[in-house]
Amino acid sequence: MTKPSPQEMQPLTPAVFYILLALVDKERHGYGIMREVSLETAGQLKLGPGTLYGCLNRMLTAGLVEESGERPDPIIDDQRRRYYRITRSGRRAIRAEAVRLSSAAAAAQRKRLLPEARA
Amino acid sequence: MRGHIVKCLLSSMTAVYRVMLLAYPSEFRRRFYNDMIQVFIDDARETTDARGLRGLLGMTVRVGIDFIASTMRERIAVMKRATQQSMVKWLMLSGVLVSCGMIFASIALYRPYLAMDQSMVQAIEPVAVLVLYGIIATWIPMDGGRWQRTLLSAPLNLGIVTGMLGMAHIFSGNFVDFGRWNGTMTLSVMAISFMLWGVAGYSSARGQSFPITGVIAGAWSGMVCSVIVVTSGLALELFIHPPAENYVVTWAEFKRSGWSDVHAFRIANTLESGFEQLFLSPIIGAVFGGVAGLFTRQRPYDQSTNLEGRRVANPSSR
Repeated sequence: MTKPSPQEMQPLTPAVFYILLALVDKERHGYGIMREVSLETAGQLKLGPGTLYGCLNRMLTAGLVEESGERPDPIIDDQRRRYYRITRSGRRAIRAEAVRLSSAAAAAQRKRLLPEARA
Repeated sequence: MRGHIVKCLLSSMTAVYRVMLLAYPSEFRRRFYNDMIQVFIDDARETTDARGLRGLLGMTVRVGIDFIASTMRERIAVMKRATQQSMVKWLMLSGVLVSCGMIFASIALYRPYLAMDQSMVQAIEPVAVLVLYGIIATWIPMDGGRWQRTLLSAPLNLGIVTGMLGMAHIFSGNFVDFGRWNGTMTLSVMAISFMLWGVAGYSSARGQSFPITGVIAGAWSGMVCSVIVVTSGLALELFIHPPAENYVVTWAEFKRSGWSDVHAFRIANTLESGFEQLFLSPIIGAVFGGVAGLFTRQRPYDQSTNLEGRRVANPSSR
């Protein structure tokens, strides 16, 4: 079975986008992802456990993320938790989505829909 | 004292949440039950530490809404998968079983058929292919993955369309005499069917890096079509409206066959046509689907269902 191409993944939903974003710099467990998403969106997007694991389930199937076999520092690690990390496919998908969002923002900027950037 | 109340409240809420998780589909629950409980406990603890009982109340409402939305989403996803799975298998397996049943019934009702030369081979050939079709239909992975999406969308629908077209052609050919247009009609039906199997291959291979997808989609479309055509064809030519015996004796094939029993020849001829349809359709479908798949040049297709299982507008496809 082939992995979906980044184009096939587009457009990513906000939940999937921010979950991938949370995993870009390091692997995290479920609650770590939830906290990072809330932090990145300044509390605008708070994922519940059902939405979080529903998304992770579909992202695992699509090959965007994978369970991590390695454990972080044993002092801070909790053996009960499962850690997730972004795959190469996931990186391609979030990069493609970021480009798409950036070109949409640029188009909005040209139409003067966004506030002018201050010098 | 307050700490004790909070502790009791948290453990009661966790117990309630454990029960609520039973509402999720069993497969989902098996995979994420412990993780979801852990996330719930972490969230509740941190919220209470940061914002006290009022924060905990807000979190309860948020988790409640999330629970309702996500259980519905996961249940709908499971139901959709199960419906598609049972529909496809029902269509294929019932066609296979009905066709095999008609073959056995036609021979059981006319035992002298078995006395004719090579008659057993003529009967076993279509049954063997039908059994193979049944095995393939049962084997198709229905795990919501790539192959399921490939086979359940355009190829299945186009297989049904071409099957209906073939069925209409058989019925019209048996009841209406189109005279000199008969050949043109047959060629047109064949050309349209081949083209649509190619379309099935093209649409499935679009945006995928696995070239064999078009071949499989075209073959699958051909299989679905031939099950419909063969089932309806056997019913028509063996039971509903078999060709008249005084007409069959004028056929060149009958004269060449050396068979003396016209009724037996009529059965054998129908079985042979069925076998040819069953055997050749997937091969032709694979060729047309595979060739059409080569024209896709990896163009991305409209993924109208996103990873959260919702339909979305895809700006890139407009």
